[in-house]
Amino acid sequence: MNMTDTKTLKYAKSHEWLRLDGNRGTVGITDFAQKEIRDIVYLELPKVGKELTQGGQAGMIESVKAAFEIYAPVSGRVVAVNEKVAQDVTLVHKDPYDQGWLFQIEIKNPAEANNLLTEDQYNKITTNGGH
Amino acid sequence: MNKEEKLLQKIGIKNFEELLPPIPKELLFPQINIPEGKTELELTEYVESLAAKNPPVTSFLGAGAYDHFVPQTVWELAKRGEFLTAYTPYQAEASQGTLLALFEFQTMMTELFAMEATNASLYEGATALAEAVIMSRRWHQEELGLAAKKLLIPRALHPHYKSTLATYTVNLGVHITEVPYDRKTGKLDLAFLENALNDPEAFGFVAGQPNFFGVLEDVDALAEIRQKTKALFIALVNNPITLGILRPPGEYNADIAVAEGQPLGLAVNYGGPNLGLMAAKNLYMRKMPGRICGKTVDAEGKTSYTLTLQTREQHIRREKATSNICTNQSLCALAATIYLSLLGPKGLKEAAELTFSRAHELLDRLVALKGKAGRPLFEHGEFFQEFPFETQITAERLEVAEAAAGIIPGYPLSRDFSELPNTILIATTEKTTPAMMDQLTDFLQGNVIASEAKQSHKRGPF
Amino acid sequence: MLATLFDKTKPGARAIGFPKGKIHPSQKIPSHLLRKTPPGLPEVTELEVVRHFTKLSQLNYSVDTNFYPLGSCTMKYNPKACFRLAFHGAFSERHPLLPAWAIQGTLKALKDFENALLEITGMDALTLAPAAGAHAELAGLLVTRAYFQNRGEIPQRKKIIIPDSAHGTNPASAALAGFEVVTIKSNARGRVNIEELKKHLNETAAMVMITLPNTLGLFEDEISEIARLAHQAGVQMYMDGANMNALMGIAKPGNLGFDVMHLNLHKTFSVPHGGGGPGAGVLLVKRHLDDFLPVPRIIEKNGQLQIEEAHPKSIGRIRSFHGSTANLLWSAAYVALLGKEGVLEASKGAILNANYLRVLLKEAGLTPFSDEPCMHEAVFTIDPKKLNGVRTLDIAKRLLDFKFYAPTIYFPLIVPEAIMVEPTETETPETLEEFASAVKTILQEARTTPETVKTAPHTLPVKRIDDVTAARNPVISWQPSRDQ
Repeated sequence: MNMTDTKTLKYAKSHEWLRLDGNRGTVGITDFAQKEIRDIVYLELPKVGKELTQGGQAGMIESVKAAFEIYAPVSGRVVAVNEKVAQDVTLVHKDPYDQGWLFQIEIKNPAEANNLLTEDQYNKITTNGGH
Repeated sequence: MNKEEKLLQKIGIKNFEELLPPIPKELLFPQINIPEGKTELELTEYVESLAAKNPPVTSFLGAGAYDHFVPQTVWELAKRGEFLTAYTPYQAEASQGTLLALFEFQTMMTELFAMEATNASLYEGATALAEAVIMSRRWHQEELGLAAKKLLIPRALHPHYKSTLATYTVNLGVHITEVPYDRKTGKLDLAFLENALNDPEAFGFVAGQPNFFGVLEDVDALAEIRQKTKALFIALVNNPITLGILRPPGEYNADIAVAEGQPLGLAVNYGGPNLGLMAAKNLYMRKMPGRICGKTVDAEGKTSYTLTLQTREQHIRREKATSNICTNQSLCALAATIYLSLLGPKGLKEAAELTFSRAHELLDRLVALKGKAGRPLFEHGEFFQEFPFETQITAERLEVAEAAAGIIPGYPLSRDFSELPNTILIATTEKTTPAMMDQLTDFLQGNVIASEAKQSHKRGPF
Repeated sequence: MLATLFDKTKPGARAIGFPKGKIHPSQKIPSHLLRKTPPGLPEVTELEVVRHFTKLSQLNYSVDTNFYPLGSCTMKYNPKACFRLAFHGAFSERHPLLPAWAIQGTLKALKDFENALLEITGMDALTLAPAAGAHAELAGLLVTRAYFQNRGEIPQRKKIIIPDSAHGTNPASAALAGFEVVTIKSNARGRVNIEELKKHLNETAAMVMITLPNTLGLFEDEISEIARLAHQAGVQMYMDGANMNALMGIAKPGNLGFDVMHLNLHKTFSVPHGGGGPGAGVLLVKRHLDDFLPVPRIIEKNGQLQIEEAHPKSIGRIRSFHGSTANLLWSAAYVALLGKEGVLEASKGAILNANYLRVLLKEAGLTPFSDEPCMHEAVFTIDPKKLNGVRTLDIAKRLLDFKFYAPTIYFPLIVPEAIMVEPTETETPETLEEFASAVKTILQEARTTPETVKTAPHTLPVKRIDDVTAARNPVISWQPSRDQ
């Protein structure tokens, strides 16, 4: 996979990123989030076929002493899950925007993506204290 | 300056009361009407006066608590202050003793049950079963995306376990159905079970090995039934000592196995503390309740142990935790670990075989009396250490005579099974001596009652 | 590090054997029900077992060997005299299904203990069945639910209101009892925010759960007002009695407006913690909830103590048999030793020691969460930025090198870098001074040689343990193929 230009991504306040590719969206967590969580030990990813709604819970990220929810940035059906990252969670730390992607969804309503943030808007949130 | 003055001075106040919150005067320092504090000598006198009111009796009680032999070494070691007065091993570096013992405990449980995943113990058997049921339901909801509500349990399940299950699940929308037992053999009605599991609403079924009546189930048939359903199979091992000789749940397709671990080195203790055991197939590991100890390394790569997979637990996930449990039965688990280390596979097998032999010797003796004492409830069917026995004398008359004879012949099943009047569940362990058996056969033939009935006729119309 | 007993196994070795029985299982049980492969238990001699577990015990810190200032856990000394009741054969070797006539001594000990607990708490009725505090809490929620059910207020009353400083068991138990959890933020003084609370006190709320004193070691000074508002809205008041060691003889929860409460006997009432359990819990209620308590219960009838196995409105059983009797007897002995003056002395001593240590630790350089006097425990924080990045976890680990167990850390969740210290009444001032002096030294190290603190412990059997590896790749049992 090529290096992602993070400027082309959309962001949720809850620290997920979304890459749009037609009606398909790829979801991961941001570099800021992976640094905050520090040592990720386990990922609970949604099952293929699961219907997600924007802002609803899609999975969990666990560190040794904390569990964080992953929210769906847009509504849709899960069509693929990154099996590699499920096996080796450190990929999220090493390469959050490419090898560390989490799941892909078939987007139900592309207009929902308009509710998400641009990189600049997201960066503003995180520099103001984040989480 | 006394100690209190010294402390108050440093704190910077004159009176202890200044430390207290604004509690209304009339509520502060209330009268506590209990006796004056006792010295150790006075405590001893109090204890002995109470002990005298717990007379020794010859007991054939089992029904979920078994008075097995406990080697002296078990508690000589478990009572060491370093084990007894430590807390949950949150600071793993200063708790390697407890942690390594828990790791050994978990290993022994995986070996006993022939399962891969286990925890560091739960409260006791009935709550362990309730936790397994909740875990099965969650599995159906979260992993299979199903909203099934029906749970099948044997009618021949320990009444306390039934009641506990009902209490735990009443607000969670679980519907419990009882599977009858065969009146001839005491075994689970497999046709009923299989039929009930055709209902996609079922998320789990429970079977005991042996069941509450002490009868061994056909575990191969249960394994086959599990193949045909999405419902999880929870195996309740009535007494883990049986696993010294009986097929373990991992070999008959159980998803989760639970048991009361009390027989493994713990006294019956009038009910507790006990030891809830749970083991499961590997895929359920992250859905398990309770503490889990894991092996890891320290900063220099040296093998060490720590509590792990803690994100399942209440102190992190709060209302979304797999359970509200916040302790394990650590010291009891330690005792069980020492017990199993002392016995080893051979000793465990021998303990099971001797217990088995005692029960069958006793039944043979009773049967040899050709009905004078009564008759076994089930003519066919295999059992391990206990069996229901229909007595010649009515349950009421037996109960009245027990105190005079100093014997408890068994657990009266009519209490919970109205279809079984005058039937007691008789249990043995390896401690059941031939002399105790003589006492029982005598008692059940009415030899004691005949002389007692005259004296106590005012107590009942018999 | 010590090897496991599995590493030492020599086929054929064993410590304990049994005589042969007359009838062999193979004579009666078909072979398909019998085990083919024996379980892989260790095969070792008795001396090996004794040495192994003795050495293991020596790897532990414990109250008997070290100061254990673990906040919220009340690690007080467990008087050895309590063994006289808890491990006495006339009590321990008694089957739980014995009829009442055969067990009057145990029932009397338990009844005396029940009466003492009712006196100490000012509640009206109780059950000794719960296996632990969290178990009692679950029972308390189920009892409350049954009470509202009986009044026809279920499912309307479905919310349990819990402050954000509460123990995690509170929300976990509420969820298990079928309730929804509403978390309310504490105010700047670490107390319940009454304005926030008022918003939720309506016909959809079932109960407010309050830890008293709270997990910051502070008394909810507006508790009477909270209780008044709750009761006005028909809402029940629950007290998490985990911190009862601050209240014995000082105030009775029953007088403070609580309807339901639980006690953790392994905290205030001295049951040894056993490396994480077994605990024992007691659930206590006011009269109006009495009928809903779980069974069995001890009742007095015709001058004899009896077991009540069923009760029409009871929630039923919450476990098999009566309760963790040996633990209950331990606590019963402890209360008998304390007596009427002793209970107040214990709580007074706990508060005095906590405040003494609070002052000493502030002098040593920790920042108290509050400058008010504390009850039985105090919460502190540090600023890693001012300590070369040294965090609370590092200080906890370094304390182990000074032969002190660590305080509770990162709890309550609302205090960043929290350090929660509870000395209990049984420690001497000298021990507290030594502890404070160790903290001072460590903070000094943090400023001058932070690596020493960040890589601690240095003098224990193992160095800093890697929890991340343990959780990423869980190895939870010994396997010959991998470990041999």
